[in-house]
Amino acid sequence: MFNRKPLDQTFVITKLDRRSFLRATGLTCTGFALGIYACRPDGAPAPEPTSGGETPNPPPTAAYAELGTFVSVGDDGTAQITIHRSEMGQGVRTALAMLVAEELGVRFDQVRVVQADGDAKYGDQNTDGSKSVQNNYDSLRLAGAKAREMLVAAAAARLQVNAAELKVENGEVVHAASGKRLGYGMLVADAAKLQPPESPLLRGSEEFRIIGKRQEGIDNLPIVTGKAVYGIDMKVPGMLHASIERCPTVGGDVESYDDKAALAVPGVRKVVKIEAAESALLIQNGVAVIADTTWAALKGRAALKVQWKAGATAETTEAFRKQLEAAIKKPDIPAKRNVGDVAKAEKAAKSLFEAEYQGPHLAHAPMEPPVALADVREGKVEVWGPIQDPIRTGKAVADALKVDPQIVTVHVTLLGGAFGRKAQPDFVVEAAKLSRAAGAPVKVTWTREDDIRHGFYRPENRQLLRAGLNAKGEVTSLLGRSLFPSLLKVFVGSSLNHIDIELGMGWNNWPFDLPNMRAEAAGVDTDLRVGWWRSVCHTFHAFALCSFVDELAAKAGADRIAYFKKLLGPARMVEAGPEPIDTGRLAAVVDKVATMGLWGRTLPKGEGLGFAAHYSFRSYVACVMHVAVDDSKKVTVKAVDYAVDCGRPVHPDGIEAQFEGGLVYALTAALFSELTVKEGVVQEGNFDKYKMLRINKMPIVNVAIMPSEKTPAGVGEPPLPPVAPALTNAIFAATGTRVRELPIRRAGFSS
Amino acid sequence: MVSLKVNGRAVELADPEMPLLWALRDVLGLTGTKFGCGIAQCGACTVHVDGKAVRACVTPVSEAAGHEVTTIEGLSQSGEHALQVAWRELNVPQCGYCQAGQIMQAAELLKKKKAPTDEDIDRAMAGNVCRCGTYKRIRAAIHRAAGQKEGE
Repeated sequence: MFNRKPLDQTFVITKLDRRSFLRATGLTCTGFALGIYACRPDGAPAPEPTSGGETPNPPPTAAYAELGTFVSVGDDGTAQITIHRSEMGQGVRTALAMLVAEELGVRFDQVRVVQADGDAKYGDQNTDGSKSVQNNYDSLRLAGAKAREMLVAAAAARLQVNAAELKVENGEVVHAASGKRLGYGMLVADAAKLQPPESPLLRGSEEFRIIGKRQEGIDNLPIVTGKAVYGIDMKVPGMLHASIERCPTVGGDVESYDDKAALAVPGVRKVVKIEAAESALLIQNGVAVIADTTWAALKGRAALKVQWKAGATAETTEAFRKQLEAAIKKPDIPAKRNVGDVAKAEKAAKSLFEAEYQGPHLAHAPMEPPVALADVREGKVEVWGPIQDPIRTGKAVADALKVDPQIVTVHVTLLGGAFGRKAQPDFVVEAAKLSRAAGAPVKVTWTREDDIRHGFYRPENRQLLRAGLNAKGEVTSLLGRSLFPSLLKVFVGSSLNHIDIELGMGWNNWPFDLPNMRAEAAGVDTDLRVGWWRSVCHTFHAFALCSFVDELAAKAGADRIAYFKKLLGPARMVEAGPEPIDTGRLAAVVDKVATMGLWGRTLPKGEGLGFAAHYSFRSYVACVMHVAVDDSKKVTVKAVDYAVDCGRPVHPDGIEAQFEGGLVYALTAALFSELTVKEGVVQEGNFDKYKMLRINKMPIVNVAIMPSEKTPAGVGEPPLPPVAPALTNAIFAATGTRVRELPIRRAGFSS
Repeated sequence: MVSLKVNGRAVELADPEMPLLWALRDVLGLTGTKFGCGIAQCGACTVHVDGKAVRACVTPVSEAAGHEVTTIEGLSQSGEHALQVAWRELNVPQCGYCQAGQIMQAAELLKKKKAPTDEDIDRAMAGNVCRCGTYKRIRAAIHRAAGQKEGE
């Protein structure tokens, strides 16, 4: 039951037909009678009718009136919820809709969602950092509660009763005393005229009917019937298709090109040089073929003859690794966290133990490559695409076109995977430049080779860890050095200076209870473009730290989980990084996963269990992995157990899905992934060389979600960090061979 | 002109060299079939030609001449194929981009094997990449659509 303030407004109730409903609610919606075109909840005109066109949003099922920025209710009683974060498979359209629906008081099958354009009125739309649910948990429930109170107030007026006598259920306001029920569809026209309440009351969690329970994914039906609209599926009238031959090296340019053969390909309309390389994004210049179909554009592109002026890069993987290996020995790397006195402790130590770890450049390789559609006209620019950050993308487009950002509209489609890649606006800028050059709407579709060779990579990195040990073999000090290119390069053009957020990802906030700790870090110059890749710096920092603790435990002959817990120390808050770490919560998931994974059991020869635990994105995750390694050093991952404390689990089935899938993403990288750079050019181009984990290698996976009343935390990225160290720790347990460089083939293993 | 049937409808396509994938998507407007790699390494473009699963990205239109092509849009009118139902019931999709190809590949498997084993599923489905990593649920959903419990 909700407690409500009594309302004194009274209204004249009139039965509205649809036309006057639209007038009364200020909703503009062309083509409504046919139910064809999208009504926008903000009252803006619907898009022009298009022949065979696609829109990111499904056509409306009713006439909707706004009850706040995020909520509309239809005259058929359905709720339309605006999702302002981008869906890339993390389930955000389902989870955010659940938050609103819970408070609105509708069943989840009465909900439809529409995707918001980029617009400051929605607040932060940058979909990264696993923060959509955690940052919107209160605000979206309040949005639902406001709308509910407006509907209840409308019902109270109509029934001439006190609002406190009313309750809501399944999209109806119910007056228990009289048995009267009024559907939301009958109330919304009145409700839309009311002032939204300033501080609506929220349900207690014991009343939750939707949050914490399994729901069907809101886009399941369109996905399984092929009707879901991704960026690559967008279409507007008069649209042309483009494919771009980009300079193979960053910062290079087109020396000259011959487009005769390309223009002779049937369907090719135009060949233009694309000049885009003016910002820190380092968008590559190239030659674009614009055609009637994607195929004609690809064929025309293949027929181009381009002479390149190479960029000022001769970066090779081998030399880059040697540079890291040399740099990490240098003692002049700045400390980012200093506890006690590591130098003094090392002098007093009985012995020192040191190890180094290395990770390669990685591409995101979402199944849908980068793709965008742009329609650039005088005074009006529209772009559509799989875009993680519509506000930044809109600014980048405006900058590139040198137009007022106010005239740029960014429409977000579904994202066919993203993992951080589609946070970068380069591909949308390309589409905008080509639309202007062609004088028509242009869709740019990247090939897989374009995607892998022109990415914003998770950068190659190296860590050194050194422990001081006393006569009893106990750790007295811990020194760490991390070298990696700063991802800030995409904003400032240099990768030399880290910011705290990067170091807070598993480096300047080690949760260990040690008297002497020193975490050093330095940026590294790279000619390649770098960016954030699912779970960002956590992947390599967790790999180094969880591997090193496992090595120390093995050296001490100790049980590895017991050893980790001893280093973790008593339950307390570690206040060192961007947010505090509760070591008690970390210890609890460690205990849970040890039970699940049957830790300590005896396994046949050639098999082993590995353990790792890591805090990231406000979630606590522990993992036990079971591997078998045969005589030819072929590794089979048999089973993985996860325990996670992600605060209140909003959509438990979705959380499990993120762990099942995050495991695959991280395991793919640890088993197979490595980009090789020669003379500034990435050598791998497609899934034949940049290998993917497939269903025949999928291990058994179990996920335990800890019950919690705490604020929901991230779940899209936290599954990844413990995976690589759990794998290599398991390989060590099975074989006695330590893998310190990824992927595992660098230590002679295969999968 | 190349004549073929797509989802039961007779169509004519002008360019015999164009991969079926792009003809379906750009010419016929059937965008449920997806581009993922262009070299038959990921299965996102899987459709049926005379009931057999093929990679549309490497199948020129000429090879489909006179044949019946079925895409995800033609698998069932309303999403009622047992695989589509199981996919929904188990919340298989994450981003969903590869799922049309996964379902078309699985549909061929179920036509050949009424009760596939895990090994059958591995063999049939290993050509289909899912970067979101939905393999556990794909396996479970195929068993469910076949009327089996997982691992039977």
